[in-house]
Amino acid sequence: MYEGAVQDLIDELGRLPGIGPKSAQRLAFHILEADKDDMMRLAAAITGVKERVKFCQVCGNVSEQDMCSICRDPRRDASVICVVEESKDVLAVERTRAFRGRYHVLGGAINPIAGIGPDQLRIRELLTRLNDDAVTEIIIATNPNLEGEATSTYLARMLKTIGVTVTRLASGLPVGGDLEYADEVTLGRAFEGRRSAIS
Amino acid sequence: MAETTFAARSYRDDGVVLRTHRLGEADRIVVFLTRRHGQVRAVARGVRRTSSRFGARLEPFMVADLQLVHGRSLEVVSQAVARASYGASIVSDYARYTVAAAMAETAERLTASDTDAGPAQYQLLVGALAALSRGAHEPGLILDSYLLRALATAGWAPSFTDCARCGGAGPHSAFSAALGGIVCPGCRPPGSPAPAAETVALLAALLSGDWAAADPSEPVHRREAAGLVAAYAQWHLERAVGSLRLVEREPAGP
Ligand SMILES: [Zn+2]
Ligand SMILES: [Zn+2]
Repeated sequence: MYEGAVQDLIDELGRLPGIGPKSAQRLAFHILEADKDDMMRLAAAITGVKERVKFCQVCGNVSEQDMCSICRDPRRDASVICVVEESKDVLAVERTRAFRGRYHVLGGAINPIAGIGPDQLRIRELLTRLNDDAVTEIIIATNPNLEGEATSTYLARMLKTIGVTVTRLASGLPVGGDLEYADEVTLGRAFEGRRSAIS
Repeated sequence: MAETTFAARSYRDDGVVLRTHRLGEADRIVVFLTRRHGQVRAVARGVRRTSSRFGARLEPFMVADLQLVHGRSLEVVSQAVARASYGASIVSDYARYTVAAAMAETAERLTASDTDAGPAQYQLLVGALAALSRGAHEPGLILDSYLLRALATAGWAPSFTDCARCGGAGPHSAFSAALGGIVCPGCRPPGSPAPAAETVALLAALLSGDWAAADPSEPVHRREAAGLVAAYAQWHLERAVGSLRLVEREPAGP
C-alpha cells in the first residue's frame, strides 16, 4: 500500500476496464513522473466529458447537447434506424458511409450472466421511437458475436408484431468479433447485403 | 530446450465456454469448464478482432479441444478446435439463450473451487447444452433437470420421494429446500410449501432424467417445479444465480 493520493489514484485506475492492479500501479507512477501540464490536460479532459457530454435523449449516442448531431441533422433519413450496442459502433458504421439513416444505441447486449437483461438496455426507448410512423425499417447491427446475436433474436421477435421491416447485417461479417474492428469495406458490404431478421 | 519448456507448460483438454470478459484492447478472458482440469480461466489474445484466428470458437456455450499454456497469472489459449457449436442454435431462440446462460452461471459457481467435480459436471453441462440446441425438450425443463442433477453431482442430491430428513417412505407432500427436498408431516418445518403431487412427480422425473414422464407435464406444474428448483439451488449456492431471474419461461397457461 502506498500513501494517500498515490494509492487513491492506483485504486481509481484499477477500476477501469481491462486494467489490473499491476497496470494501475504502472499508470499511476507514469502520471506521477510525467510532465505536470500534460497530466493536468488529461484531468481536464476527464472533467470535461463528465461535465459536458451526455447522452442524446433520442438515440442514446454521446452528445454535448440534448440531441446528438445525427438526430438534429435534417438530411438524415428518418425512416431507417440502425440499432447498435454502443456509441463507438455508431462511429464504426459512420466510417463506412453506407448508412444515411439514424441510430439507436442500446447501451450493450443482453448478457444474463453479466446481469444484463432487456430491461437494462434502451429497448423501451426504441419502442417509443417507433410510435412515430416515419420509421419503416430497423437495421440490427449488434456485434456479430453470441450476445449480439441473442440481442438481435430478442429484438426481431419483439418488433415482428409492430409492422416495420427488421433486417440484420449480412452474415459476411466474421463471427466472434466486435463490430468496431470490422473494416469499412466489410461493414459497408454487410449493410448492402442485410437480410430480414424476422423468421 | 525451449520446446521442452513449452511442452511442460502446455496441456490439452476439452472445454466448454461458460463466459467471457473483455480484456484490454481486443483480448478476452474466457472461463472454461474443462473435462479434466475443472474450471480454467484463460486469456484469448486478439479474439475480439474480426480477423481473429479463433473466430467464434471461444464464444459462450462452444465446446472445443483446447491447447492451453500456463501463463504468469492466467492460462493462455494457444489453440482451439471446435468440437461442437451449440451457440448458433441456442441464440436463434431467446428462451434457449436465457436457459443456457443460467446453466453456464450455475456450472461456474459449482466448479469454482472443486476441481474433482470436473468430469461429471462437464458431461452434464455439455449434455444439457446439446439437448437445448437440438430442441430435445422444453428449454425450462432442460434447465431444471440440469440444475437438479448438477446440484446432486456436487453432493446435494435432493429427495423427492422418501422424506429428505428421516428417510420415511413417501410419497409426502411438503417441500423444504433447507432439509433437502420432500419431507414427511413429522419433519415438515412450519410454513413449508405443499406442491401438487404432479409437481413432485415432475421433480423426481427431472432429477432422474425420465423424459418420458417429464415431457408431457402441464405448464402449471412446470412453473411450480421451477420455483422449487430455484429455491433449492439458491439455498445450496448460498446466493442467487443472477441469470435465473432472466430466464424466459413459457406462459403458465390459462
Ligand atoms: Zn441522437
Ligand atoms: Zn421425515
